[in-house]
Amino acid sequence: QVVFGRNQGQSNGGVSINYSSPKEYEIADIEVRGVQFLDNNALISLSGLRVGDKIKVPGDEITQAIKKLWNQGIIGNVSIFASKVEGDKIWLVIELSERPRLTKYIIEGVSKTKQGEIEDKIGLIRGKVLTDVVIKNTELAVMKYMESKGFLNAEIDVFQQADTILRNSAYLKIVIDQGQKVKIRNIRFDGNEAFTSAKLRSKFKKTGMVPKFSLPTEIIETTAKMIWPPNLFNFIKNSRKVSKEEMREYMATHVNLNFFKAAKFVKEDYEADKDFLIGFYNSKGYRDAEIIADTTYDISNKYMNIDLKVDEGDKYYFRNISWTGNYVYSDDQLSRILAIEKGDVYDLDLVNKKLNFNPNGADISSLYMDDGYLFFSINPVEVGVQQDSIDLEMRVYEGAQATIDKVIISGNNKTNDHVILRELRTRPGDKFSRAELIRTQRELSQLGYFDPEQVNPVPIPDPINETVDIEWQLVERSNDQIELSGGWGGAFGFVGTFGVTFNNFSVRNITKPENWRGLPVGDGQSLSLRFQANGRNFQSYSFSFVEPWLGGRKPNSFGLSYSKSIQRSINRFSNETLGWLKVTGVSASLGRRVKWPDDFFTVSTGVSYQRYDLFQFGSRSLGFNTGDANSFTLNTTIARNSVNQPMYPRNGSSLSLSASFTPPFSLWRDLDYENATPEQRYKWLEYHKWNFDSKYYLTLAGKLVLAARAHFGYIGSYTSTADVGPFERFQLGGDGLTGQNFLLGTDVVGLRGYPNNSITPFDQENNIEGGTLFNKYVMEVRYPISLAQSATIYALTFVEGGNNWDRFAEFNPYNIKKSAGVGLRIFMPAFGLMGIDWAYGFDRVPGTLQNAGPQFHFSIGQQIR
Amino acid sequence: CGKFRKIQKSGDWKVKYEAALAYYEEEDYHRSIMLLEDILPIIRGTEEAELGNFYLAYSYFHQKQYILSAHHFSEFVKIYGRSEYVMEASYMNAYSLYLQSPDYQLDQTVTYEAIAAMQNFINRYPTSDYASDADRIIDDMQQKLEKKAYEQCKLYYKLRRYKSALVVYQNFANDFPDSHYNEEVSYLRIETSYDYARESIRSRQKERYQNAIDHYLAFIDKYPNSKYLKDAERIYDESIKEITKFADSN
Repeated sequence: QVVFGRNQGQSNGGVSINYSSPKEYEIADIEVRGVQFLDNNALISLSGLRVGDKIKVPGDEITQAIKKLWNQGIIGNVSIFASKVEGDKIWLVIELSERPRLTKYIIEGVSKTKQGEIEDKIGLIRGKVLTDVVIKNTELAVMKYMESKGFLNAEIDVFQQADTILRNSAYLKIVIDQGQKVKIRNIRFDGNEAFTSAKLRSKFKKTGMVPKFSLPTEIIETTAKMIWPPNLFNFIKNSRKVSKEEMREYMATHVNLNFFKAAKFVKEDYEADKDFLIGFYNSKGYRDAEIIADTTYDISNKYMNIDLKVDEGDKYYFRNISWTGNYVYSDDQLSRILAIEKGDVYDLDLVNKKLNFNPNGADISSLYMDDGYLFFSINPVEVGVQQDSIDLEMRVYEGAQATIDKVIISGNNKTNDHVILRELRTRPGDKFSRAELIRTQRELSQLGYFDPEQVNPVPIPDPINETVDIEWQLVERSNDQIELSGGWGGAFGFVGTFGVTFNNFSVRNITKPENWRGLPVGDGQSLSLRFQANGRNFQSYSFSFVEPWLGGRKPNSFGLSYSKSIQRSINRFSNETLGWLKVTGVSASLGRRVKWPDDFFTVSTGVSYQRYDLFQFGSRSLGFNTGDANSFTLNTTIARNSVNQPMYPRNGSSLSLSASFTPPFSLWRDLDYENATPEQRYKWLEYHKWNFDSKYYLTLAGKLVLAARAHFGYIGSYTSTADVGPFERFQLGGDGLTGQNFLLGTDVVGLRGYPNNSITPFDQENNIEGGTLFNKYVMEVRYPISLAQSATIYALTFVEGGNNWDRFAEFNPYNIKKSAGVGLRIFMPAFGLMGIDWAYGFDRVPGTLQNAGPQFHFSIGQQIR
Repeated sequence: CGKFRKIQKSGDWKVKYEAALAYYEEEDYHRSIMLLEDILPIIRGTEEAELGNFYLAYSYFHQKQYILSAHHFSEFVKIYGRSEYVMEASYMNAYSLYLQSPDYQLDQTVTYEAIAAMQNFINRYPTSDYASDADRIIDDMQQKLEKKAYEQCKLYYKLRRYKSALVVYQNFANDFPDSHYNEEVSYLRIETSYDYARESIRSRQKERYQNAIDHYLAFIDKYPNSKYLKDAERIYDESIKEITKFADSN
C-alpha cells in the first residue's frame, strides 16, 4: 500500500507501488472520501487531476494535486492513494478531513484603536480553515502586540465557537485582559569600571526608566533617621568624603527627569539597546566588552527592574595600518582620509565609517565611487594583536571604472519621463559617481512630485562590460492643493475663498483626455487659480502659471500671472455703489539657474503692469480718491537656495534680493510736480523698491533646528519732487497673510505679537498710510512632532522684532518692536501649510498707550517674510 | 435598494450567489462584486465557486478595474487549471494587463508584464481564436516601448547631452533593430557626433570628427536613399574639412 500525503501510516486499503521505477498510468477513476460539506466534483477540479489523464506514479502530479488542495486552506488533512491498479490503469482516492472555517472574529477587552491594530497583526482570513496552529499563532501574535505596548502581564484567551448561521463554520473570540502596564523602575549595572552606570543607561535608546523625583522624600526620610540619637552619633562619627561618582549615582537613583524615553519594556528594543551598549564600548576601544549576564524581574505588578553584568575587557589601541591592492591612490593619500594615527583608541566602527560611508566628511569609498569605481571594495583585517595594540591591514579591491549605460525610471505613473530625465545627474555615458547619485536623489525629492522618503536609486552593475544601469524607483505623491475657506475679513464681513494649485500640471495633455489622471498631469507645470469674494463689496480673482523648463532644453522657468481685485463701498440702504478701488495686474517672468558664483543661484527677471482705478474711494489714505494710477515695473530677483528640504529644513540657507523699478516718468512727463494734484502725479507711478530676505537653518541637536531670518524692504523715489506714491508700501504686524488681507496694493509683512497692520506709519502731510522702509528679524527653534508623508507637524518657539518707518530719515535699526511666543505648524499635502502662534508683544503699538500684549495668529501657506 | 439590502443580509449564500449572477446579467457589476466578494471566501471548494470566481473577474473587468480583473483572472487560471474557461481567463488576464498599460511617457512595468502574459498565452494556445488579436496587441505594446526609447534619444539630443545621446542611440539600435525610427536615429548619430566633436577640447576633436565620418559612412550604406542624405552629406563635408585642418597644422 502506498499513500501520498499527510495520512501516511494509516491503513487505507491501498495498493503497493514500486518507488524505484516510476510508471505511467491512466486515471480510471477518482473518488473523494471524508467529505461532509464540500463538493466532490469541485474538489477533483481543484486538484487538477482528471479521469483519463496519464500520470506518473510516483510523480509530480500527485504532489501538485495535494499542494493545490492544501493551498485552498479549506481542509484539515489530505491524502491521495491508489485503491486499485490494473494494467496501466489506476483508481485514485482523495481522502480528506474537513475542519470548520472561520466566519468572523471578535476582539474584546481592549480599545477600538488597539482592536484595529491587533486585526492587522494577527492576519486572520475569513473562510480559511481553523486549525490548532491558526489559533495558537493568533494567541502568540496578540501576546506579542500587547508586550510591545508594555502590557507584559496581559492574559489572552482565544475561544472557538460554532457559528450557527453557516454550516461547518466557527468564529473566534479573542478575550484580552490587559492587566497593568509594566514599567521599568531601575536599570542597574554591575562590573562597569570605565563608565558610570548613568552613562551606560544613557546609551539605551529606547529602554528607559520611569521618570521620578524622589529626592525630597529621600532627604526627609534620611534626615528623620539621622535625628534618632544613636544614628546621629554614628553619623557625626563616621562622616567621610563622598566621591563625585558616588554623588552622581546617588542622584541617578533618585532623580530621573527624562520624560522622553519610554519606560516600557519591549523585548526587541531591549535586545537592540544591548547591542548599542556593546557598540558604545567598542567605540571606546573596549573591543572585547560583553554583557555576561542580564536579568529582568518584577518588583510589583506595576514595576520591574533590569540588572546587567558587564565585562569590559581591556582597552585597545591602533598600531600599524597598512594598505594592499591600491593602485589608483597611494598609501599616503588613503591614510590621510582615514585620519587614524598610531596610538589612537581602537574603534572598528570608526574605521568602517571612514572606509564606507562617513556622513560628516570624506570617506575612502567616495574617493573611488565618485570616480566610477563601482566594483570597489575594502576589507579591514586585523593582522596582529600584541598586548593592547592592533595592526590592521586594509585589503583593497579597486576593480574597473564603470560607465553608466541605461537609465531606467520606474514608478512614474503620473509624471512624464522627460520631466524626470532632464533633472538627473546620472546620465548615460558618464562615469558612475556616488556623489551625483546622492545629489540627484535629493533633487528629485525636492521636485515635489515624489515621496521624498522613497526616491530610491538602484545601480544594476554589469561587471563584464564594465557598465552599470541605474534604475530610479519612485513613488508618486499628490502635490496639488485645494483651499476652500470662509472667514471674517475686517470691514467686509464674511469672505469666501476658493483656490486650487496643481503642481504637476500638463497644458499639452489638456486636449488628450486619455492621458488624464483625473486631471491633465505629468509635465511638471504649476497652475493655480484663486477666487475670493463676499458679494459686491470685495472680489478678487487670480491666475498663475509656471513652466519650469521653457522650451524643454534648459531649466529656464517661465511664469505668467494675472490678477484682478475690486473693492466697493456700498450704501447699505439704497444698495448704491458709492465708490471703488479696482486693481488689475499682469506679469511675466523668466527665471534662470546660473552656475556662477555657485550652482545654487537663480536669477529671474520680469515685467509687470498694474492699474489702480479709484472712484470716490476715501476709506483708505491713498492721498487722493478719484482717478487712476498706473505702475509699470521691471523686476529682478537674485536668489540662492541651498535649503536641504522644503517642508522641514534642517540646514542650508536661502537668500534673495529683489528689486523693482518703474521708468522715471517725471523726466519726460509734461507736468509740474510741485503744484500738481496727487491724482495727476500718481497717474504714472514712479519708485524703486528693494526687498532682501535671508533664511538660515542649523541643526542644533538631533531633530532640533534653529531657523534665523532677516528681512529688509525699502521703497524710494528717483527725485525729490516725484514722491513714492501711496501704493506698494509696507504694512507690518500680525499674521502677514496677504491672501486674507483685503487691502489692495500694499506689501503686507507679518510681525507676531502685534495686531494686523498695526505697525504702519501714517504720513499726515500727504494723507498716505504705509511705510517706505521696514526691517524684521526672527529667531525660531523648531522641533518636529511628525515627519510622516501624510503630515509634517512641528512645534516652534520664537523671538522676533521689526519696525516700519515712513521716511528713510527716521530709520533706526535698533528701534524695533519685540515679541516672543510659541506656535505649531501642520503641513498636509492636500491643504498646504497651516499654523497657529501665540505671541506676546513687549512694545507699545503705535497710536495707543498700551503694550501689544498677548496675541493669537493663524496662518495659511508658506510665508516669505 | 431595499431588495439588495435584504439579499445582502441574507444568511443563505445560495441566495446571494443566484442574485450575484442575476445582477451580473443585468450589468449591475457593482452589486455582483459586493455579493461575490462576500460569499466567495466561504464557498471555496464547492462547484459554484468556480463560476463565481470567473464572474467576479469579469465584473471587475467591466467596471474597468483592470488591476483587480487581471489579478482575479490569473488566480482563476492558477486554481481552476482544469476549467473549461481557463483559456478565456488566461487571455483576459493578459488583456486586462494590456488595458492597464499607460502612455509611453510613464512607467512601463505593466506593459512588460502584459507582453509576457500575452506571449505565454500564444505559446499555450497557438491556434485559439484569440491568437491573432494577441499578436496584434503584442505588436502594439512593442511599438509603445520603441516610442519611449526613441523619445529618450530625442530628449538627450535636445538637452545637448551629446555624450549621453550617443550611448542612448546605440542602445536603441541594439534593442529595436527593426524599428522604423532607426533611420532617423542613425542620422541623429551623425549630427550628434559632429556637434560633440565641435564642443570638445582640441585634443579630442580629431578622433570625434572621425567618429562622425564613420557614422556617416555606415548611414549611407544602410540608407542610400534617405531623406536625411543631404544634411548628412553636409556634416560629412564639414567634418572632413575640420580633419584636414588638423592634418595641415601638423
